[in-house]
Amino acid sequence: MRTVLKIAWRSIWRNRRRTLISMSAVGLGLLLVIVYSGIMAGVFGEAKEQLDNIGMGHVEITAAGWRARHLAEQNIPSPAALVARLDLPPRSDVGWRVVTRALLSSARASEGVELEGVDWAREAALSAHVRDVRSGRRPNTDDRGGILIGDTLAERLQVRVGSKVRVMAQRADGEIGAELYRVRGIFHSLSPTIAGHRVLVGASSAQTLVGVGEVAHQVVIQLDRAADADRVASRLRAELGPRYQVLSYGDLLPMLRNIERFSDAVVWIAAIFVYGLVGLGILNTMLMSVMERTREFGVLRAIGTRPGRVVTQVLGESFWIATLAGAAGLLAGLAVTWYGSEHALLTIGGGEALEYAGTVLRSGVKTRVSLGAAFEAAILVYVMALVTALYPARKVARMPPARALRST
Amino acid sequence: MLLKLAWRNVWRNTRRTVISVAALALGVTAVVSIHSFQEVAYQAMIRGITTGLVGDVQVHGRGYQQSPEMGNVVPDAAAVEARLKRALPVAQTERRVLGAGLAGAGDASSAVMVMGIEPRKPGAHALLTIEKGHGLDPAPSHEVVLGDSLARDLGVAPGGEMILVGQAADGSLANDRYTVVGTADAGTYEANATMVFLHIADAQSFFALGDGVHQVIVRLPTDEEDLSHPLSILRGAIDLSALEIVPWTDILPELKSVIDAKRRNTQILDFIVFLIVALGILNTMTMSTFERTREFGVMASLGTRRRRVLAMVLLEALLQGFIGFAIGTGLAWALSHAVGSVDLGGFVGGADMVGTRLPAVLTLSLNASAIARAGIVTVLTMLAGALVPAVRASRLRPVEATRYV
Amino acid sequence: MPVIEVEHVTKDYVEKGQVTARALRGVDLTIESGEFMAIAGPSGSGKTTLLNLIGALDTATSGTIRVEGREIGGLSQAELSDLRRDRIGFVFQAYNLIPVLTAAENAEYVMELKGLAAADRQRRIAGLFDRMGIKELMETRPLKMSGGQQQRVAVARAIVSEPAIVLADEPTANLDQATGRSLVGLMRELNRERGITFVFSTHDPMVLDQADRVVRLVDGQVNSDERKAGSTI
Repeated sequence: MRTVLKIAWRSIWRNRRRTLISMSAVGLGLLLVIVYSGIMAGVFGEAKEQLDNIGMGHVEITAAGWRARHLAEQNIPSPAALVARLDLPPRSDVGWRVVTRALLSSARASEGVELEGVDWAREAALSAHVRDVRSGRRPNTDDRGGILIGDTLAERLQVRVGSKVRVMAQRADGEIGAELYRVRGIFHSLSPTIAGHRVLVGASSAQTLVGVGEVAHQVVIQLDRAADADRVASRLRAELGPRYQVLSYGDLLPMLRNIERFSDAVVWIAAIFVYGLVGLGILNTMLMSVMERTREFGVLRAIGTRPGRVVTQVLGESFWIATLAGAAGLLAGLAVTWYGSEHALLTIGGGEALEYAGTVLRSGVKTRVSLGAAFEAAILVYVMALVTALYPARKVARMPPARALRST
Repeated sequence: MLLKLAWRNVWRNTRRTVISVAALALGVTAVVSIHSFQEVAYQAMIRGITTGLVGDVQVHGRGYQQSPEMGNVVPDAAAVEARLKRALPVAQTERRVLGAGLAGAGDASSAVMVMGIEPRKPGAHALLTIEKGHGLDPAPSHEVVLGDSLARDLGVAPGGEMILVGQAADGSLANDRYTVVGTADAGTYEANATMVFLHIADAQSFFALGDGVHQVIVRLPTDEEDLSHPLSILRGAIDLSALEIVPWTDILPELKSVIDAKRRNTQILDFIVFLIVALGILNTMTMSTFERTREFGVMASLGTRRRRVLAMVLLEALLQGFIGFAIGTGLAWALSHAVGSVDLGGFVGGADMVGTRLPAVLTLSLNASAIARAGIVTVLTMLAGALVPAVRASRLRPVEATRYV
Repeated sequence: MPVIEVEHVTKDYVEKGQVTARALRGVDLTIESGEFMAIAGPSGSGKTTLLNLIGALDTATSGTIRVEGREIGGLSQAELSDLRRDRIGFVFQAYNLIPVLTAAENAEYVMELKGLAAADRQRRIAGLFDRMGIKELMETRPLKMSGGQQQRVAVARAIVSEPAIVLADEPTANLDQATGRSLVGLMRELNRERGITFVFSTHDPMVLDQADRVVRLVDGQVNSDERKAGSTI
């Protein structure tokens, strides 16, 4: 084998330009596949980050039936006590919310909104927008008249920090409840829906608005590892029983899972196509390079080289090309994706983020570096290089030596 | 003569040519298919918007798009419509009233958007796909049609009753009871969860607007993405000091920018295809001309001008390009026919993206600009790959005829 | 025991199912061990074809060929390869050597195929190259050698693995007279020293002159078979 590789190595450099061009094509193909899969991975991001963008949990607990009807009286009593009982993995963030649809009116206009009554400290850990208050500030815990609203909503309603707004919502007893609030802060969210339709108040203030006691409509849990979501969800389901509905983010956003599968499929197809293209290029090059030396291979056969070894000899050349080009492509690919993970390489839309299937994706795509994916791509290059070289290799190896010797 | 010579040279090494052409065809198939697929998707999304809630162009009172206030109505809407129609007869117009409210049925309630539409107008009908019950009566009859998930949330079915509460134009509380006659798919998940549709006259009386109208929706019978021409005609027809005229691209700028960004990103694909195939062509043309060094020497010694040799080699490349392009396009066509319709439902179809719904089923077809683009990429690729070897070949001198061993 | 036995051998060249040429039309030939012989004849007489068949580089259309008593007609490609590796050496008119290997590496090649240890290989090569007067060429690549030097290295490679027979197809055709004579003389010495059978295919009178036996082919058949007086069998 050492001799095979030695001869192969020296052989590929006989026509330096041709070899370098082939290597460039292979390296380029590999670079492209690595960067592309890094981009796709970056677009859809870590599930936790996406959920944080919209304040969704990996696991959410609601009273059974609430998701269908959203009635104020379908709630979870004593959420603090409930949460204390739960067996959650370490480093989980938990919060609970009073949730109701409401009508928010300012002096100028009124709009339908989604109102959440929250524990501010807990909510800040769960939702990016609560941490991104651009004017004013978050209300204090004991501030019963303070409201936090989204920036585009504020603009449409023409309210500022300090403005008064009225909120109307349906109470648990069927009456319409109304309260006045003062805008304490205006937040920004990557999600246009949240920025334009979400308002937050303190939990007890919301409870008063809808006429309920110490309850919550949603318990939201964000885990350290997204992969745990389903497992935790089913465990909690068993613990809590039929009075509660426990869902994982996969249940809540089935589209997200689909999209992840979709983008994997797309990367695969792109890789196959790119490699097919590169493979055809290599095929032609190897074919010509081998056929030019038919007589030489004839001599090899004459002096006793078995056909199988001639095949190995040719594959050896392809092996070297794949190795050098693969190494170069791998390094370049990793370098570009590493750079791209700090500075966005491309955008998938104007503006800051776009809403997609219930979640929010950042427009400036930063790549996600994955050594595993990169190596996988490199291995495929080898496979392709060796498979394409088989055709010319066998062609020349099987020729009767006398015929090969007759070639010019 | 040159063409005949070039053609025969192309087929001297059949296997090599076949492989090169195959590579190019693969690239062309990919470029054409991907671009066509995307354009079909974009067209479907845009059509969803322009035939749905947004329309092609909207006319409002000045400032409404930025800040949709109840009191900002289109002054003398009928006259505006007439003027628009006169300026652009193919345009179809609809009037709309829009306001926020609370809807209640039984013990359930929900914050909603109330939209008053003109049921007589065909566009209004097209935007609502009635799922249960029926659409609104042409005459105002205190009826409502609800978005399907809203109806589900409220627990109402056609025949049931609904209470609407809102803030009227004069600041007073608006409060009325309506009969639910149907539930519909209004085009997006958000719309289906929040929209209540009324006859415009009912909506006007609910919000105490008189005959005020918030939006005049203009629909154009075109699939053109670029509306600048009809837009300028329409703009000329109305009083811009009191009104504003807004194309859908300004109402949903995120969608437009997403589409534009994706188009830009796909161009990167074109570039990569170009690069990889060009490298392959460079190799094969180099070898092909190298093998013929003696021959080029002979041609030179016979008095052939350099330009002719250059042209011949480039022609060889372009001929291969032409064949590859034809095969690639044919394959893309066959592929789109074989696949027929793509059901994206399992993946992303039906999902909402930046305010529009992604089509669940796409019928594939080839897009002319995609084919044109592939053609340009082909020509550039072949020329780029063959240029250096062609120039080399043209520079060979007669002495090469005998010198080369 | 005869090294080579050729019985009633014919060879037709076939293209697309049609016989285009009958290169050999019934050849009978026996070659004994240790012979230094030539197969002569004009162009197209079939001498290269006969050499190819003897060397198992091609298969006969009909007839039998035995190498050291073993019939080669039914052997597989791998078996024929091994036969050539172990028992037959070749020297061609030109382009004998693997261009990317040095002279020593070229000579080592077949021994490596056989699996000989590095030390063994190097020992044999050193001795042989010395004997053949090409020791200084050991680390040189073919591109840097003259025609005569290349042919000497080819001969070295052919015999270093101690084959039973060396087949040389027009080995002097590309060389000038003096170099050619020297080459053939060297091969003759090796034949005497080591008992290796040499069979030439040639029309070079200088070579024919040095051969102990000349078999003449005309139109694919043996025309004459002459042993020189005083030749050793």
